[in-house]
Amino acid sequence: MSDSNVLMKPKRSRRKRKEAMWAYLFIAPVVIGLFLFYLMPALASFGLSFTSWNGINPPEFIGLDNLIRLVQTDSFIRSMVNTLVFTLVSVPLAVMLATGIAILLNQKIKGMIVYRTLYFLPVVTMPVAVGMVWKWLYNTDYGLLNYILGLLHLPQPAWLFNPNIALISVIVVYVWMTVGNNIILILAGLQGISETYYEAAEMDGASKLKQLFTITIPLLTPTLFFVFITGIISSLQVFDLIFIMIGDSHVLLEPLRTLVYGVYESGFEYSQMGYASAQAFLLFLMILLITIFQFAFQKKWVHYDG
Amino acid sequence: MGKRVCTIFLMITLVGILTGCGNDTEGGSKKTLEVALWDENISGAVDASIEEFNKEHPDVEVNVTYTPYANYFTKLRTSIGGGSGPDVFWMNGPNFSEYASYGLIKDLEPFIEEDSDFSKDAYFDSMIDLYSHEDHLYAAPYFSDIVGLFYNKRLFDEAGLEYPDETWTWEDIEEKGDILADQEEGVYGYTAYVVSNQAGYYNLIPQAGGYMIDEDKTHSGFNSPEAQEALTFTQDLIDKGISPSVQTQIENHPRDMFMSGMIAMHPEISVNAEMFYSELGDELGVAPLPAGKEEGSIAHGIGWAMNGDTEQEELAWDLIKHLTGEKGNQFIAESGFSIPAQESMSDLWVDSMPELDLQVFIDAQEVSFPYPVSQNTIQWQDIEQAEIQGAFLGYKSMKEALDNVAREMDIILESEQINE
Repeated sequence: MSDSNVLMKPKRSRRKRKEAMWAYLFIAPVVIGLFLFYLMPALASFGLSFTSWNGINPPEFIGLDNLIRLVQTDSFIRSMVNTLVFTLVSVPLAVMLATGIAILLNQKIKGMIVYRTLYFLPVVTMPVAVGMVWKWLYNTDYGLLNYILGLLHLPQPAWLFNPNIALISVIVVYVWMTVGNNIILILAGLQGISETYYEAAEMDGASKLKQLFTITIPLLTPTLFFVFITGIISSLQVFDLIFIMIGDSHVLLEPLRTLVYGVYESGFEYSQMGYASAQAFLLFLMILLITIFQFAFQKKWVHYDG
Repeated sequence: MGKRVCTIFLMITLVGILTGCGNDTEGGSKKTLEVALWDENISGAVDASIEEFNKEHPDVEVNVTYTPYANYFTKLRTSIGGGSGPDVFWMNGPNFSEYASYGLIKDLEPFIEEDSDFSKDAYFDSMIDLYSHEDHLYAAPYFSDIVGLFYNKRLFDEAGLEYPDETWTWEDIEEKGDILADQEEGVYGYTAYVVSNQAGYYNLIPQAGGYMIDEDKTHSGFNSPEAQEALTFTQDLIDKGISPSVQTQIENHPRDMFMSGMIAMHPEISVNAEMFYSELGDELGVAPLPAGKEEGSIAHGIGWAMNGDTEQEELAWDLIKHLTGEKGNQFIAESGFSIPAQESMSDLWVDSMPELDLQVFIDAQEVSFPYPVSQNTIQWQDIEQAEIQGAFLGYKSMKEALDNVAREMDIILESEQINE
C-alpha cells in the first residue's frame, strides 16, 4: 500500500484521489470516535485539573492548588507507592512466568490445544467475575484456600485483611489473570523464530539450554519489549480487580488503594472532579515518562532480527 | 456516483453522532417520568402506587430503574451532574444535605403550600426533621427504618433462657450472650455490629450519653469518653467470642449469619424484618434495643426527592404524592417492608406480620436518636468506618482511631461552615 503510494505520487490520478477519499471515509468513525471520546475529554480533564469543579457549579481556576494538596495527602502518596510496588512485582513476574510457560507450550505434544486454552481462559473472563471468585477463595473463615491449609495443619492467613500480605494476594490474582495474554504474544514470537538457527546450532553441537539463552531469548526480545510496555501501562492503571476485591469496606482500601482508585474516589464518590483530574494528569505524566524511558533503554537489550 | 455516496455517508455518520449527544425525550407525544431507587424488595408497593397514578394520568409512562445501593448514588450524582437523571428518586440521610444545599433536588415547600392533600403533620417527626433543609422539606418521607433487637427463639430455647424484653440493658447482652455463644457449634451470642454503623455503634454512642455530631454540626463527638465507652463495649464482646470479629463481619455479613442461625441476637434496622421472617419463620423474635445509660435507637428512613432540573414538576409532584400519600403508605404497610412514614398507618404494618411484635419498632420512634448528618456526611463516614474498622482489625489503637476520626471530621465540618 505505502509502496504504491510512493510510486503514484508525481501525478495523482482522479481515481487515486477517489480511493483516498474512501480511505478517509472508512477511518472516519474511529478517528471521530477517538477525538470525541478520548482526545477531547483528555484535554478537558487537563484543563479541569487546575480548577475546583464539583460537577455542578461552574469550574473555578485555582492554579496548582490541586497538585500541592495531592503531594501533601498521605493517601495519595500511599496509592503512588502501592501502584509502583504492584507494577514492579506483577509485571516481571507475569512476563517471566509467561515466557517459561510459552516455551513449554511451544512443544509438539498431544492435547496442546487444551493446555493453551486453559492458560488463556482467565484472560477472557471478566475481571469482576475473577475478583468475586477469588474473594471467596481468600475468605478467612470459609474460603477454599484456608480450608485446604487447615486440612494440612498449616497457618491460615487473613489473605486480604493482613495489611502485610493484602497487596501480594491481589498481585497473585492479577498475574494469574494477565499471564495468558502474555503467553499468546510470546508464543507468537517464538513461532516467528526461524528453525534454521536451531538447525545450525544443532550442527555446531550447542546444548538445548545454550540454544535457549543464545537464540530463543535474544530473538524474543522484541516481543518481550512489547509485552513489558503494554503490561506496565495496564498495571499502572489497575482498578477493576482492586475495586471488586475491596468491596464496600473502606478499611481494606488503605493497603490496596491505587492511583486510579483515587481518581474514582475523588471524582465519582466525592464529586471533586478538578482534584480527580489532577490525579489523572499525574498518572498520565508518570506513564508517559516510564514509557519514554523504556524506549530509550531498549537499545541496550532488544535485538531486532536483521 | 462515488462522491455523492461518500458525502451522504459522512453526513449520516455525523448526524448520528451529533444526535447521540442531544436528548431524545422531545420526540413522541407520550410523556414519561423516570423513577430511580435501589431496593427491589419494595417493587410491589411502588408498582401499586404507580398504577394508581396512571389511573389519573393514563398518558404518562413511568419507567422505574433499580440500581444496587453500592452504585446508586455514584450513578445518580453523575447523571444529575450531566444535566439528566431521573425525575423522581430515592434519597437517604447521608446524602440528603449535599443534594439539598446544591439545589440538585427541589424544595417541596411551594408544592405543599398550594396542595391541601399533603400535610407534614401526618408523618413521623423524625422523618420530617431528617429531610428538612433550613426548615424546608426537600424529600417526601416514604418509610421509616429504626433499629431493634432481632433474636433466634430456637437458640434461646436450647440455652434455656427467657427471651429479651424491654428491661434488658448492656449487661444482659454480655451475660446472656456469653451463655448463648457456642464456639464448637460456630454459634455467636450477639452481633457487636461494626460493619453497619447505623445498626451498631450509632446506637451505642448515644446510649452511653454521647453523640456522633453536635447539634450545630460543627464538632465531632467521636473522641468523647462516651464514644470510647461504646466502642470498648463492642470490643469486649468480640474479644470474649460473644460476637463475630470485624474481619468475619466484613467477609461474611452478620445479616446472612443471623439468617443461617449462627447468631442468637442481632440488632438490625426494621427494613429487614420481612426478609428475616421469610427466612427464619417462627424462630424469629424481636425486642427493643437493650439500653445503656440512655434508652433508644437511631431513626432513619427513605424519602422521595424530585430532580432540581425536572421539566415536568407538576407530574413529578403528583407521582410523589401518590407514593407517599395515604394509599402509598397503605401499600408499604401491607407489604410488610418497613414502617410507613405516616404515623397513622403504623397499626396496618404491625398487622402485616402478626407473629412478630412489630409494635416494638413503632414504640421505638418515641425514644429515637436523630441520624447524624452534615453537608458532606459521606466523606466523614468513609473516614469513620475505615478508622474504626482498622482499629478493630488491629491496625491501630481504638483511641488513636477515634482521635483521627474526630480530627478529620472537624476539618470537613469546618470547611462546610466556610462554604455556607
